[in-house]
Amino acid sequence: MSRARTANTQRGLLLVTTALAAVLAGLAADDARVHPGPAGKFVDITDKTGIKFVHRADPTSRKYLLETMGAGVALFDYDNDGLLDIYLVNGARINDPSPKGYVPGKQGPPYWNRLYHQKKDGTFEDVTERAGVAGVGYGMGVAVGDFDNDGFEDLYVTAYGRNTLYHNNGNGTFTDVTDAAGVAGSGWSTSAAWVDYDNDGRLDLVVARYMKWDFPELWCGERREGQRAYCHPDLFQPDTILLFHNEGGGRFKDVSRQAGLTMPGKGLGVAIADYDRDGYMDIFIANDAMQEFLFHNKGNGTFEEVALESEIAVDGDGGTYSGMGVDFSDFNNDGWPDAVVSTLANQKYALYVNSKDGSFSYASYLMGIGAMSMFHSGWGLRFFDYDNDGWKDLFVAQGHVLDTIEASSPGLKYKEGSLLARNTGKGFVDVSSDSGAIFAERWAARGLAVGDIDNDGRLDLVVTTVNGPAYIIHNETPTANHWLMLKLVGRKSNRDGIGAVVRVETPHGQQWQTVTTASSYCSSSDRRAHFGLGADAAAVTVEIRWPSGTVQKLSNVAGDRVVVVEEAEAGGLRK
Amino acid sequence: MGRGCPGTEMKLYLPLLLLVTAPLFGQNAAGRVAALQEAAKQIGAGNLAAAEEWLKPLAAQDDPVALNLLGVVRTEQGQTVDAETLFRRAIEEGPTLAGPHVNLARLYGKSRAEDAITELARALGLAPDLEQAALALREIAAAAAADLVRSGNKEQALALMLRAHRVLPQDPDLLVETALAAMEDGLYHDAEGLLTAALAIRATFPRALYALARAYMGASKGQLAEAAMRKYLALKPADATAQYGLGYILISEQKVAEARAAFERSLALEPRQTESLFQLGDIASQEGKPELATERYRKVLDADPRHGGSLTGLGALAYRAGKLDEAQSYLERAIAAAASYYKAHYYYALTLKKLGRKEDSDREFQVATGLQKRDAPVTRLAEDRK
Repeated sequence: MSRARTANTQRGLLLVTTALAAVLAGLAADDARVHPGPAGKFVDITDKTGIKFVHRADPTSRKYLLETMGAGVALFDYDNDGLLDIYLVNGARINDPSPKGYVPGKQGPPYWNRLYHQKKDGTFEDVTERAGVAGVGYGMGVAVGDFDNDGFEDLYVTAYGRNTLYHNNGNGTFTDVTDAAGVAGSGWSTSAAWVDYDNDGRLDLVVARYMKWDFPELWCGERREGQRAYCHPDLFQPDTILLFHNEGGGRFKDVSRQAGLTMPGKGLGVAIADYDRDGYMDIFIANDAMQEFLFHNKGNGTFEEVALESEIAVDGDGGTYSGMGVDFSDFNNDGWPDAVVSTLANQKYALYVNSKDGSFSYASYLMGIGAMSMFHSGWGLRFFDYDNDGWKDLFVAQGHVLDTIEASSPGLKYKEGSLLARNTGKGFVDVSSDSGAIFAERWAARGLAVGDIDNDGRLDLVVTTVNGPAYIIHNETPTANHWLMLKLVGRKSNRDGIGAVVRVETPHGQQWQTVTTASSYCSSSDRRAHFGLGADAAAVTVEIRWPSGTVQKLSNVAGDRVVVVEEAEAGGLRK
Repeated sequence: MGRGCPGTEMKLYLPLLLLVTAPLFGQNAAGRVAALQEAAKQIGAGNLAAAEEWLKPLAAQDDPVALNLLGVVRTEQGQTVDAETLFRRAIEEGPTLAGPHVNLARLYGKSRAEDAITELARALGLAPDLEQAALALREIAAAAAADLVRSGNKEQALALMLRAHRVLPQDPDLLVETALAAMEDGLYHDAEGLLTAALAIRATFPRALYALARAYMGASKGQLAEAAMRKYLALKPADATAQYGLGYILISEQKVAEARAAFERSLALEPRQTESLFQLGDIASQEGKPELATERYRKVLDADPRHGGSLTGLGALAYRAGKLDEAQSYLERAIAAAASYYKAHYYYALTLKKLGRKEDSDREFQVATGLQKRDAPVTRLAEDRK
């Protein structure tokens, strides 16, 4: 008699009343399915771009958890030529077995992180070696931000053991300034976010750490051929997140403790938004297999963890789940940031609507997200308006964490198709199957970055897979809808304008966007704020609330273009 | 979904006894055969003293059939020690007789199930087609396994059922009982294999179909679970519990409209039940229909004032409506009725937080998350499994 266990938590059909926590999802999806609306059209253009990246996870017979967590990707313009470049994080050599205390190293080019520069013809060239960003250690995530306000985007690369800060020299090269900056961190770092939490005009750095883990001598799963499994996070102790305050002069100070970020978690995703609109950026941490964290910025350099009272720590029944990726953005156009967290199969992605009083309402069922995600496992995810209709849709990179899941739970899949959920304005509808062949592809996807790679106004995607290729996905959705993209340049505020809240008003309504490169899983997206304008060719008003407190208004801004907005006392606009 | 556990009390099997006496005594001592048949008749009529009179002379001569029948008499008289001795003597004197093994197994019953299975294995080794032995094997093993499950010894229950299953590997009833024991221990895939084998032998076997639906659910195979339950319902359409089960499966598949219909059918079949009504309340609550949800939860409470799920549902609705005192009252009642229901603790924590009782709130939240952890682990250390 075999001892195979299932991940399914359902214990039977007729349990005692107290155990009847029914799995209810998708209650509002039925109506929406009747009129799914226009699907997208997404095309895999990886081959055309010339990018031949393959993530090296180095899977072992020991099933070290590190091997299955994948790595992230950044979409950013490192040379300011107006075209997005791509940075892909890679793994490192893991010996089979590896002793406690082992820190994997990058043994040769196959393990390098890769920087691909976009050329004017839309193809990419590998400039890793010249740029000096091959990385060290077993890479996990990447965060993009101009920490020294010199106008060139810098890179923070997280890894198991030690993180790396690359300063962009402005000449196509980067310099490892980790030690001088004091941001190496320790432990197992995952997602990171640049955010000016004290509005002093300099970007600070938040780093999520997964847990205290060190090549354990554990066997999880079945003692049968092919049944050894990655160990559950419950077997390991949580770790705290890190907050580095930018002191200026290229130096940072670890202020995690004094800022009140002492609660240990199992952080995988980081997102930032000012959810209570008090002028200070708050931090959401997606934790694996425990409650999520919402760190409310008290405006005095400290934070308070308020997830429980804000009703965003768990699902609507009080159930914890495995938070993987996260986004923190206003999807319902009411001006208040909402949140979505990807989870493992049988848990449903958690969608929270901002109740505008400091709390959130769990809305996975009512918005249709529960129905479409029940049997899927998500990692990188982001709200983005793929069809420029003025409503932010949702893309989720999917794949189960356990490569043995099909043996233990045959109804689930390790490699999965991606999810595209269209925002109808009343809820979400799964339009994946009608949105291109890429959605029929099965990937063990992990990272996701969103950005307009070809500046055509339609947001494109880059998806990473664990121990597999990265996919460059071009948005070719046929639409006559107009769009507007805003690239902010802070003066008093941080130069990237991260944390600025942009409101765009058209005759058909308003939309809000917080400028950030963070969200998703271990990834960094195009920092330009993108808006679909629908049938309107111009925005009546563009209002920017800069982190400095400055409110800047622009009127009658024509669409279908990228607008650079510099922060100035009188405001400024240039194309 | 309960385990079937027919009674395992000592029973007389006179036809069996006559069956096994005939070949032995057919060609000699017609008077002895007549005496044995008369004794069996008297036992059947409840005249134990008369039976004993017929049997004693033969038993004194170590006649195995007489010893066996006398063991039955002693059993009926409640003299189990003597009965066991007599059955063992019968086995010793008549090693080819299956009957004494069956009667000894019946004597042992579920309290000595391992020994009973051993005796029944011997009986079936001597007489493979002996239906009474197969029946005793099913009944005793199932009853003993049910007791073990009830006392928390799920692995022992499974081990016992596996022993019984190995005695009659093609017996559909034993396949089903073994599958049920496997499911109690969380081994859904193994259960699925056993049940599929049972249905291959007996295609229209409602109990196997129902159990298979459960096994598929446990293995996250919602569609297959739905198909199995629908097949069961095609055979037993008026089974309110199965209609509820179908609703539960459909909910897990996100087929909310169909689930609602299944719960409503279940409710129509068994209007006094609370569970389908409770599920319909939860659906209404999730659909953003608090009035309808409240009505349904209250109906549940009319029938069962301590229904933890409905008390929690009402507490959650009251919390969302800002009626904190009402929420607190419902949730305290919910926790008193169902202390292990994490949703009740969660909403109680939220309510306490809003009432300014931060420490109490934090404690309740820890209780809520702690209750889930017990169910959470997907994998275990191999060392724990040795």
